[in-house]
Amino acid sequence: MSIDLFRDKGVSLDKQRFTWKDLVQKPISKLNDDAFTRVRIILMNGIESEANRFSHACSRMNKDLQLPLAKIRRVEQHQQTLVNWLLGADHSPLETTIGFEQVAIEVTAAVAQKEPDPYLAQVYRYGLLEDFDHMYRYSALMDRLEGKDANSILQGYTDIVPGRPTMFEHRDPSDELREAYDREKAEMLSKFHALTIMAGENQTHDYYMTIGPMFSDPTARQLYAEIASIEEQHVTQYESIIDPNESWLEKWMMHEANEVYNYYSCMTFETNPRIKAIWERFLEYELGQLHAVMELFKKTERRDPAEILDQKLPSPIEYKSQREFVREVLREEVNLRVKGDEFVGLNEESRATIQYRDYMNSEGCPTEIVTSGYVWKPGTELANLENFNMKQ
Amino acid sequence: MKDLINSNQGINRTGMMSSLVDSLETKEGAETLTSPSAGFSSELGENRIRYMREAEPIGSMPKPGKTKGLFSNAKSKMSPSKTLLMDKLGERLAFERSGVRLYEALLSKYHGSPNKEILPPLEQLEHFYEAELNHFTLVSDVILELGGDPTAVTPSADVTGVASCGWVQVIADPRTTFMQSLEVIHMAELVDNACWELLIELARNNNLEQIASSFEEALEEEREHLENVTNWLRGMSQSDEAISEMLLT
Repeated sequence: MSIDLFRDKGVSLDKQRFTWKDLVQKPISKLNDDAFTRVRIILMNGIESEANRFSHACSRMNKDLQLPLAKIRRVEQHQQTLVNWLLGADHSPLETTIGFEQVAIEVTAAVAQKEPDPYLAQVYRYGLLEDFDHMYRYSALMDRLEGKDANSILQGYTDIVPGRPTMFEHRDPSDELREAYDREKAEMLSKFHALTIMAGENQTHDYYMTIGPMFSDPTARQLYAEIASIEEQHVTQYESIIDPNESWLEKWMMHEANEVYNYYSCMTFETNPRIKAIWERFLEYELGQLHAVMELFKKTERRDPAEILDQKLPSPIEYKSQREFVREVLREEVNLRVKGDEFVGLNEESRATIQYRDYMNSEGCPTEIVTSGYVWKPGTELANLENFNMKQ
Repeated sequence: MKDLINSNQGINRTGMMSSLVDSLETKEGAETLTSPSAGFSSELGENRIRYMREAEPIGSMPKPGKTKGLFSNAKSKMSPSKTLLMDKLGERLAFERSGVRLYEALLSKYHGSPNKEILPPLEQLEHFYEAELNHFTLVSDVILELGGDPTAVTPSADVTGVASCGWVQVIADPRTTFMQSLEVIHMAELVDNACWELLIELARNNNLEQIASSFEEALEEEREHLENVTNWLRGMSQSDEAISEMLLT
């Protein structure tokens, strides 16, 4: 199935309706569903969350757009509810956290390989190694606090090893801003990638800020505080790669098109038929929303949406294990650092970043405390299954 | 549940065995790519101790009420033993109140279950539900009699509430079976029995013989609950139907 953004008009806005029962459907099974089904649910919650965030910001700055924004935002909010409520209640906050980091690793790695702009691809690979490290830290917390194995969530798709150590990820804000793509020159896919990863990181930040205080253990509270701080840096990084000169309506249209692209990607790879039907339904909804915004764009800006959008969607985001790519990036780029908007060597960081980091870490670093001597093992570090593979 | 069994989603994917090739790569990666910093998991414990030194308590006991009561009339400060009794009464009150809600959820699980012939008798479940309600009222009355405030959350009530919050999550989940829910009730009844015993001792230590006797009656009922719940679980553990419903076999 291929999508034509101009001809496929989806479901019209007036037919995009929900009941409370419809919003709260059967959740997925933590034990039985494929880990990538959970990955897609978490990402799409983030995409819808970004739709809501953008819509409110736009509404605050554009009186004339407030009603159409409100109409579409109502649907998006309900879409987000339906999607997010697919997570079963037996996911502990820490298990969901492992899911969030799996999203960050697998989706960013998929995007980094498809990104046509080499500088942006570097930005994604840079962020990837940082989220990769978070997985190792949270897996250690899950093992050492709750006695649980992170691989029961990851299902063998994602490595649990250190990346760029989180204690070195703390940077001065002046080293967090990257170069933006040029709205007139960048490919549509680059714009989709930037929006997608920014949305994912923003919801991750918000999630950690919400659940961090729910933990009683001091190291857990500190760990969420430290990693939430990095997620804030990541949001800052990823929003800086988006051209700020895009008009409000242009940005809105890109958001809607990106939602089409993401639901299309989810639908393409989904293995659970019930969840696939939800992605298909929301793909149709998003096409309807996109066309409503296209009409506004034509009317308000007197421009053709084809100036901004390609007719055909790019190939979908690939939902599969990116282990080999991640390991290669780890081998080649773990010692990479940033200074301003440039990627530099290990010893070339700014004085401002080093001073900031040294002070933040001066009373101990939670990501180091939690992983002291930690190596992930099947069944947790308490298990002794060294000959596990031999028995097969 | 049936479509879960019949669909391709009906496979547990959590263990190494279910994705052996991938998981062994994860294992090999962890072994070869991890150079951990020096130290041990005990650092989490050391950090706890560091924070404990600065920690403030969860909260304090409410001041004795303004109402006339056996304890509130005391001119001097309430003794530690009396304070502990009031704290534990607050805990029992909260526990019994939550217990009523647990039994309510168990009853809805009963009514929603397709195979009632393998379940315990409904009248008995309803009888236990009413007993929990009566115990809540009993403790509430005793707190008032002693001059306490049955609407206050005492520290032990708070701690026990946190410790048991997973029970409600399990029993209210539409996906859990009656038997899984009954196991939650079993845990609650085990704790409940032990706590009533302690409460009776505390009442006797404070020369509250009449109250201790009324609590003895409640304990007797709780013992009956525990015995029945244990037997029901034993019976269901021997029922192929109950087992296959719970484990999707």
